[in-house]
Amino acid sequence: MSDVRDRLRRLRRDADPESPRPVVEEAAGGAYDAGWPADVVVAPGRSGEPVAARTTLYEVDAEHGSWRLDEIDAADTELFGRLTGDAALANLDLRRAVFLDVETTGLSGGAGIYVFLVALGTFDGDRFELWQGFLPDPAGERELMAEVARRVEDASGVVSFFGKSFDRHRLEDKMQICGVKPTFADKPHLDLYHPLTSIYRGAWSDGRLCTCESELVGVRRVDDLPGSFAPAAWMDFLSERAHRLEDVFRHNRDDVLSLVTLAAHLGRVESERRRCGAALDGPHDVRAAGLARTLDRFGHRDRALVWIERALERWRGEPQTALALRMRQADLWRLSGEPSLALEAYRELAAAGGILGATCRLQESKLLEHKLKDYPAALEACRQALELLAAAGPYDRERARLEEDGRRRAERLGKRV
Amino acid sequence: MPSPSSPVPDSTPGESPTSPATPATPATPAIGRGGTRRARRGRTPADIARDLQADPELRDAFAHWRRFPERPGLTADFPAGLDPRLVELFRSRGVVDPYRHQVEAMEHALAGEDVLIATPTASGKTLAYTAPVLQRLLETNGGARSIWMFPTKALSQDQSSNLNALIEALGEPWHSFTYDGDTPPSVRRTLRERGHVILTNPWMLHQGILPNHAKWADLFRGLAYIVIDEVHTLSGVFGSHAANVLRRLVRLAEHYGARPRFLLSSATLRDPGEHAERLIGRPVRVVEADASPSGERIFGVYNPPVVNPVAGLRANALEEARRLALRICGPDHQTIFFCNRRTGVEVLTRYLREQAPRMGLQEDEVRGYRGGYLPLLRREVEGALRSGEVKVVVSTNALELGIDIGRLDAAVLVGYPGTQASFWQRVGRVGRRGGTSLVVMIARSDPTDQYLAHHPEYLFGAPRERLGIDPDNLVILSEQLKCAAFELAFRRGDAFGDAPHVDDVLDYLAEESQLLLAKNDAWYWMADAYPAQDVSLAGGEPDNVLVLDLDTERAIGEVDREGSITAVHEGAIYQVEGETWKIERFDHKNRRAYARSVSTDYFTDAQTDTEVRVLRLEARRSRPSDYDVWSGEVHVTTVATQYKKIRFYTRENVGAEDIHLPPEELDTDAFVITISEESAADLGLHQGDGAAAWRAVGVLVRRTAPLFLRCRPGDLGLSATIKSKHFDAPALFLYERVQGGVGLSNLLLEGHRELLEAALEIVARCTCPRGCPSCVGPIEEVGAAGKETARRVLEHLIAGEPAGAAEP
Repeated sequence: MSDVRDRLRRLRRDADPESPRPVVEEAAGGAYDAGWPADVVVAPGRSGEPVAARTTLYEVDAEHGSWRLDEIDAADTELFGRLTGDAALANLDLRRAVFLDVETTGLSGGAGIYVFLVALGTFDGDRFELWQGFLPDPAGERELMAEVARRVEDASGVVSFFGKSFDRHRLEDKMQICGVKPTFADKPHLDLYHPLTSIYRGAWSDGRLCTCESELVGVRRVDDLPGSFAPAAWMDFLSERAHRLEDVFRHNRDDVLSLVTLAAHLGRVESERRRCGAALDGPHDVRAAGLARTLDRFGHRDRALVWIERALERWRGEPQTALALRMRQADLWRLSGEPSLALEAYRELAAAGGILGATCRLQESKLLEHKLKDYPAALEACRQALELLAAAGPYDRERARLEEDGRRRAERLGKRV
Repeated sequence: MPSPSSPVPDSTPGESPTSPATPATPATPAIGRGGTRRARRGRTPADIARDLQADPELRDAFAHWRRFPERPGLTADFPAGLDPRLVELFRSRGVVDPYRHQVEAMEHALAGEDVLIATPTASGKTLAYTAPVLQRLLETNGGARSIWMFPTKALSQDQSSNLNALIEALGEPWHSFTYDGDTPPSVRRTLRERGHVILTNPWMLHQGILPNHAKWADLFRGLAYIVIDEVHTLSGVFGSHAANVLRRLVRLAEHYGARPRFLLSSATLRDPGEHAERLIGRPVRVVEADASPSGERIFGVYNPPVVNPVAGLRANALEEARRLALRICGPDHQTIFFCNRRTGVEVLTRYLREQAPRMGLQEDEVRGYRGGYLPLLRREVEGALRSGEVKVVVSTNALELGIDIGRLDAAVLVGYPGTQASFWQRVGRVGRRGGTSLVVMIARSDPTDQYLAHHPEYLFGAPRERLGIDPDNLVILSEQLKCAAFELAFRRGDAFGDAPHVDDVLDYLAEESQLLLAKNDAWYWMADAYPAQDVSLAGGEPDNVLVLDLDTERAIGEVDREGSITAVHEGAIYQVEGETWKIERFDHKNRRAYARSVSTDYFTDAQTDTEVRVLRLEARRSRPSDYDVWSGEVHVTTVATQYKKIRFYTRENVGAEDIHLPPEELDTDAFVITISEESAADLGLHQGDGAAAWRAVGVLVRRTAPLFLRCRPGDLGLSATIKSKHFDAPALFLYERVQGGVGLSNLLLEGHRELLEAALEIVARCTCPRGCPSCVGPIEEVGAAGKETARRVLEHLIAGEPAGAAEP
């Protein structure tokens, strides 16, 4: 060995170790422990094989941040379907779902990433059970994965934050490698990240879980271990050094509890009231605009129109957003068989002039031609559009496209009239 | 008659395109363009060869002619075990009776053996590996999977469409997909889930498929065959990495419960089986008796006339190619020119387009082809070659591999391509059944080409080249084990192909690199990193020095680590495509050199001092108390000492300055020749120019090495000393310029006698009086008696008993 080692050192030109282990700064707060993490026991799981896990039980009326866990019962699950475009979520039984969050050794993906902590939260009568499956030895992956697969299989669905893109894939990869059949495929999966960031787009600087939970469900974490320290904590534990696994367990636990209350929040966004009648946290103008946009995107025109109206009432921010909302409102009226409302809205918006005004005039013209069969008026609207375009700002592709459209339309209408 | 140094004078279309001295040449009558075309109609390659042999202007320059008669193909019945649906399919596509070698290969594959088929281009190798793959798919009702690995993207795309056509004709719902850097992420998923055959390359396997094997679990579970096309391209550092990529692939397949078989194809090599076994780490059944038919072939070796006897310079090969094109090209046949460099392709394409009318062609019947052209353009040229629209194509090695362009009629090789395999691949581009084809190779001034001009038997005889490959090179092995450990944990004692020291390397990666966790006799990847991203299959790149424009920080070039101290030291003139840049600053530590565009009338030439320290000698052959050859591990220290400024054209030395850079260190393998003090004294190595002559022997051996093993002269470093400390005698070290070596040294040791013989041939044949660049080097370097002394040394080494095995 020493011969190979000497040659390797020489040939690889490894004067120093190639990636020095990141040193956890003492100043980051929290305590170092030695040895086995508290309350983690090895016991046969549902699959019959021994798994290391910590189970924490909460009363369902326990509070996390400013919400109670059982407020989940008041969530309108049909809304989940509307806000995600996934019809299967409309009937999601949250009392039988698993709330999922994992800790891994890296974000890059690939077979070499270990999932060393898997939290699955489930309701059980008047308890909420938080099961944290732990990997005390990388050799035990198969047992842990088999247990996770089983628990997911037993559930009605999965709730996560960004889990459709990350957690699920890390677990499925590991299951494939360990020869365990993945069980996610048929389960409805509510990934809170997408609807929440869609509804509250632009309200905060980022769409991370910790931002959502502090803004929407009143969670304030104390001494939270940054996620980037989690891999080092596990590696320290494996190497029998002092470690900060306890902080990782706590962080992982808090993530799951937030999944419950954020799901409860999402289930109330249309009513904007909590079960107790209190108003929902979060910026109500952004929410209205975001709901309008999200519902519109998944084809719920009537509801989108309601939320556009509310958003226009509430909106005090930059005027571009309001104009865009009104434009969309006119479009939706046109599409849902309200030509006169649409016509009025387009005319009103056209007063703004510029490209937007010209676009509205062209829409007005189309509406007059196709729906109301008023060809002279349609021609007039078209001419006005062309006038607005001629006076509009710099010449760009959009302007060229509109001009081309306007010219052809005017020509055709001219013949007709 | 124009002298050889002055090219054929340009003439406007319509004028006689040739010199007045040869008005009778039927190919070049003095008539108009249409007339030229008409006059050139109906000429066959046999006619052209006859004309060349008779041409008073050219015939003396042809050093050699050889004619291979037409050879009929030997066919056999399809193997009895082959599914009748496949037999019918192949028959319907024109393969009524397969060639014997195809049948033999299919039979071995169907019997479950690992098979290598090593026959020339266009001998039907694809059928031999396609049939077993389709058979297995039929047997498993679409359950079997296979991975086909190609050395280039273009090849895999070509093959994918052929294969899909076969599958469609079978009426089965199977799919083959190309998976490479161009595959859009949106279709990757479909391909992972529905691909029965994945056509890919070593890089995609290395960085894409293997590290994400969980996503490809279905492919691995069903993996029946690993097909590797053109395995002769997998040598050196790249091949050694590729061998490890295969170790990883097989390891993962076994993890998922599959035991894939290998189906390999190769150009003809000296010992293809040995190479294949090193590559895949297990024995293979070799099929190499080519039974495909070929038409009559005429070979001519053209050695351009000497234009400067003192400098040993012959007429420029590109210019000669242009001259020969006037005689060879025409409207009724297709000619391919092979250049060794991309710039050569561009220059010659321009020349030939300019003189197209004089060859009886339209300008657009002459096309260029090389890597770097857009795929669409390449497809267009390939199609036009197949349809016969294009009459002349000028190409790099891009058309050497199995891209389908049909068979052409004449080939001109502008210089020896560097390897015998390439030579035959290029030759394989011509030869229609029932017709005669012509191949002309133009020799350049360098020693290898000159050797071949006088030794056609090397070209036409049995293959002599061997491929250097060393999958167990510790640098490569340890980098690849990093990737493998990322993919799947190792248990102590786990095999990694046939690699040695696996546990030791893993211990090293755990303890010293801290990338792995060692626990309970197993190693686990334990870092937030994706190692394949940092491991380059070509090796060494992270150490390359980037040359940047000082003002804009735009990259203008790249220099390898070893070459940097002589190419980009401060004050060096760095040349890119004729532009000169002066290096203002060399940030040695950060591998960056900063240059400013200047116009100078000089270039720079750096001097180095190289010291080779012997670490361990592993093999030896000895002729007692006379000479010894060795191979072993060495440590090479190279210091750049000073540089000279040399004026362009006149080569006048206009100044010198010192270089201050840290030494370049290299740990590698070397082949060493030592000669006893007595013999050295007898041969005159201790007097006058003896030391320079001794070095000249090394220069010659280094330059002839590519004739016997697949490498470039630049892959070997040379250090010559008349008094080696380690051997206490004169020593020549030829060391591999790759950290850790890739097995060239052992091949040099085994083949050293052939090498010395070839080196002697070159010196003995060269007509220069006292040394020139075509043999030992110019007189300024070797001294007045250098050539003579070098010749004596080589004669002495070859005469008598060869060195026998001895304890190192």
